[in-house]
Amino acid sequence: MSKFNLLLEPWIPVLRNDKVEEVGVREALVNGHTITRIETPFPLEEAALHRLLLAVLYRALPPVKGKYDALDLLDRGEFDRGSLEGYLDKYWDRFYLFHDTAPFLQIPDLPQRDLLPWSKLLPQLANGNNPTLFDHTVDENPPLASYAEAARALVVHQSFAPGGLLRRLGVTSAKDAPLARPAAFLVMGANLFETLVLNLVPQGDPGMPVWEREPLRVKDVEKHATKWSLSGVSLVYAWPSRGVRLVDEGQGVRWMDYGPGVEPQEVAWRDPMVAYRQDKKGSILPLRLSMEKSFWRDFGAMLPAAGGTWPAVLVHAGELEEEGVSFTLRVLGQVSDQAKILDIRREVYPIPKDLLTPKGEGLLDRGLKVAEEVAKGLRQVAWRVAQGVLGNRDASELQNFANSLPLLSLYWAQLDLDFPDFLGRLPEQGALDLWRERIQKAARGAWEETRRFVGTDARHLKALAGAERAFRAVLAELREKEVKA
Amino acid sequence: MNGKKFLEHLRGLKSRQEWKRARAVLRRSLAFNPGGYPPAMPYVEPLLQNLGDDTWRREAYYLVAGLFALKEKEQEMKDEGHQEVRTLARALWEAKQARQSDSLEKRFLALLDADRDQIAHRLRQAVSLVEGALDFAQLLEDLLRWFDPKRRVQARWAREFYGAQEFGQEALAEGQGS
Repeated sequence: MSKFNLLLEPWIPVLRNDKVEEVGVREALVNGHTITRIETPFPLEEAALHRLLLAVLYRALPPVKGKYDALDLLDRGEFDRGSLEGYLDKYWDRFYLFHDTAPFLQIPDLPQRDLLPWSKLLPQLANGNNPTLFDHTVDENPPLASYAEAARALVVHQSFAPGGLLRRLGVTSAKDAPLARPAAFLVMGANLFETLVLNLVPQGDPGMPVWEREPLRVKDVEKHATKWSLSGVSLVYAWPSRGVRLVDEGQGVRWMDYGPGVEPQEVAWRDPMVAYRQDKKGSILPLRLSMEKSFWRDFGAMLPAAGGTWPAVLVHAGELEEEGVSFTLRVLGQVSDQAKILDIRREVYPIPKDLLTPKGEGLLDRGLKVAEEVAKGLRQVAWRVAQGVLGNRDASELQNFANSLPLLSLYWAQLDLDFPDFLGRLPEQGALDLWRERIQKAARGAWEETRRFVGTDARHLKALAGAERAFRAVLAELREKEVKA
Repeated sequence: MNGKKFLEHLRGLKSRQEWKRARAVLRRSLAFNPGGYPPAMPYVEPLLQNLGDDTWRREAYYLVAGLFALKEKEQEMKDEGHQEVRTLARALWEAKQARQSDSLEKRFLALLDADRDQIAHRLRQAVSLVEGALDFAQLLEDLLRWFDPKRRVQARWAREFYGAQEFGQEALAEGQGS
């Protein structure tokens, strides 16, 4: 018995002609040029759905070997229907959400014990006493999910599940899914077709995706019996991190079977949507989103000068840009601490022509460094305020007070708004001057607010007056640098 | 600017025959609630048109007039001739430096926190602690804004007192705008 074919049924939310509608995989690919973009409020869905479509394209289309193949493809304006239909017809049977022997990205013969609510597939944001993926209160009556909702949650989970304890089917823990930690970079074009081509980075061997392999069964995932190398875009972009089986209730899904999936083996393979940085010991690590800062502050870590690597999708899009194609960059992902999901984010950046040149990179690097130096100065100003208000206390009390001031968060919040403009103007020399001005304004604004926050009692005015000198010194140093540069 | 006009008026008074009597009256008015000593009225009322119900503004004018008279006598006695006028906050800072006095700082802070009932008394005390010429025009301007909820005047005075070495004119210039 097979039901809800993901190639045909509507489940991928897209924007077309200014309206949101849901389409199947086939429609999204064959008519991608009529679709503006995948449209979802959930950043993780955005990333996972694009990856699924790309995984199909890497196998369905003749390989894109370089810049010129990509340009030819763009010139055609749409994907070759023939290649697509041929491929999809061949694997039609592997894309059913419910299937006796090969349900999509699932395991058909899980033991039907200890069912979990389907909602456990979605990241549980950790806060206070919020449990992580597993808690033991399973007497809930989970809401009914539509098939489309359940399908999306499944795809998201397989890409983003954080590693941690998992006591099922003979295993005690499971590893991170491919995008559990790294930030995912997605290049956006004028329509879905262009977007997909821009992200279709040439790959030697795309690997074999799950739907072209023998369907997985319980015996394959029990005790992590199956281990595959984490390589090959087509495979990794739709990786079976966990063994799932959604239970069909006729109108939708409420429960699922859950357990381990295929264990990934790390090999020397770079995910095209991931950026890499070098740590102090010289190891290459994927760049992650962090709780305290917006992603742009980490751009510096991606620069070659810092030993980093731009994500391959950005480099590929950059090459195409030289030939007149324009795009924006989205950075998507979750911020996690062990198995707890702390935040989910989507950041959008305009990428100017010539950013990925030595000049552009140099200016970006300088701009980021100036912002960090001023922040360092502001931290000292906050410290002075703490000293002024609290007097003689131990360092940790003073630091707590300093941290409670809104000085730095307001500073960075303002620069979050200003940064895309700076980025968009690179590599003009004037961009750096304008950025310095914005930094100054952000610092002043944050300081004004902090003064209001601290208060106007004489005691507080005294503390602020003392710190004021430190603040002016920070601005003076900024101006000095301007003059020197 | 109200302050400048008022200062001109007071200086005008000073240049006339009746200044000796006016000065004595204004000085004595400090012992009473500002504006509550009728003999002082002829010297101050002419400037208080269009104040309506704003009683604080009246009090501020009377207070500054009294303090001007107080210091003017002292300045005359010192016979200092041309001396740069400083703001009260700056003058207090200078006094603190000269006397190495902690109690002076305490009084300054108490002055900043003064409410309606306390301001006249604390201001008199503060003015009597400093020597030399004071910027009474600025003092009036500041007093008129003393009860602004944002307390910008108090903030500026604090900056002048605690950062006096570096601020000087810059702080004043900023203050004028607020």
